[in-house]
Amino acid sequence: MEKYTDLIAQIVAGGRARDQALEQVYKDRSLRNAVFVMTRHNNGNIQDAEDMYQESLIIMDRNIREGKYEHQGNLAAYLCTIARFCWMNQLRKQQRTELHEEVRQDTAKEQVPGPDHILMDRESESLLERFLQKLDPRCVKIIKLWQEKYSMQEIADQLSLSSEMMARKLKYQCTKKLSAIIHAQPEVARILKQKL
Amino acid sequence: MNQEVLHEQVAAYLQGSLPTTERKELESLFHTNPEAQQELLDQQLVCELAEFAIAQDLREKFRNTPVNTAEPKIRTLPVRRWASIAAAVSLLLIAAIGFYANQNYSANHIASAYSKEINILSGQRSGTDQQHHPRYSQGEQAYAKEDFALALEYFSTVPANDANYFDAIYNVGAIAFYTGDYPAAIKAFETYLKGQQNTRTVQSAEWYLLLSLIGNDAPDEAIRAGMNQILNNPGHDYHQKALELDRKMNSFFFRILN
Repeated sequence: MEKYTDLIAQIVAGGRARDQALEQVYKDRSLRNAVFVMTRHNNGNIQDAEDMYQESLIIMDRNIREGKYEHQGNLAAYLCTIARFCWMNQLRKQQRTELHEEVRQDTAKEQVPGPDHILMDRESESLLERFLQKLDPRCVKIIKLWQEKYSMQEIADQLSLSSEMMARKLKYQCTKKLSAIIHAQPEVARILKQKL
Repeated sequence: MNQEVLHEQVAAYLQGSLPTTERKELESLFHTNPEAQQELLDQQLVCELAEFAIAQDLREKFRNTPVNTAEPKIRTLPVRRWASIAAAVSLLLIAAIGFYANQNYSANHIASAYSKEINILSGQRSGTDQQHHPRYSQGEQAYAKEDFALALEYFSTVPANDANYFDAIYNVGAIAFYTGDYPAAIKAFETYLKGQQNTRTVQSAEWYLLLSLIGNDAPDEAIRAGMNQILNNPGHDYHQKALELDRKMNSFFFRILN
């Protein structure tokens, strides 16, 4: 499991190292198989399995970045637990069928937030998508880079700013601007607050 | 406190990069200072928005990242608009036959068709009075819950000096075979066959090693050697299955597809 330990460290480090690590994790055959087998055995089709794999990776990425992942090296089991939560949530929404297996009451569960917390409904998602499209792309980019732990110098380079100081200033202005826009849209603010 | 300084401190707090003393000071400020509270909430909301945008970027990135999957890839035949109905029907027929052949005769599907037959070895099977290693039992439990990744983790870490070590290796091979990870299955079954004497499980390992080689598109000589080993032993548990498989591999469709 050494390779996963390195990949986790790269995700924690953020920036380009994280980008590369996520691509590697996405292509990893063992991780992919584990999630695919779980989804297919619970009445999911290939597309469902692919969706579950992608959603689980997105949640795993955030949990690792936020220091919520505590397993040492057992990334596959962790990813499967997340996928199981996501799939259970999806089945519940679609009311297609009961999940064949009960969610394991083990330690992994404590480290994965429940599906209602991590997944939002389709309506809220499209509202946020529309909201994002209306925002200043430069501001969206800077807050994303910051959240992905790019250094101020890297942010300055990516946005063609003259210095780290300018990047810091722009990030401050954008945060203020975006938070004012969020507060002016009560429904958007409500959805985002739900995720806190 | 200056607004920009407060902003920087809260940003560092949310990224977890604030030293303990400053973090504690800031946390007490959140309890008493409405301005600090508001700054925290504002930044948290912006961070959530950023996370939403990051998730969207990742979905886009994944969509554009090519991956090799074990799932069947069915080629669709191009149909031109001006083609006659008869030609279209013919093409559909060819596509249907191609689909059927690919489903039943491609090396990958031949191997995966047997995946539901394989099972792991129970730790009790060894018949020894010794208790088997806790990792072996944990592997069995994880397998029963279909948590294959975790089961693999447990079985592959049973120590080499344990009585159930070779059974654990067999189980690694069985799970890898079941999940379509043929290179890992080959490695495990080969290790198992080098160290295990139990005739029945050896025969089972030989059979699944052969299927893994087929699934992994191994060289013909390696597959042929594995096949002959079973075919040349009429008492082999998998002799009949090997005969059927051999017939299938000599068929027109198999030769065309592989």
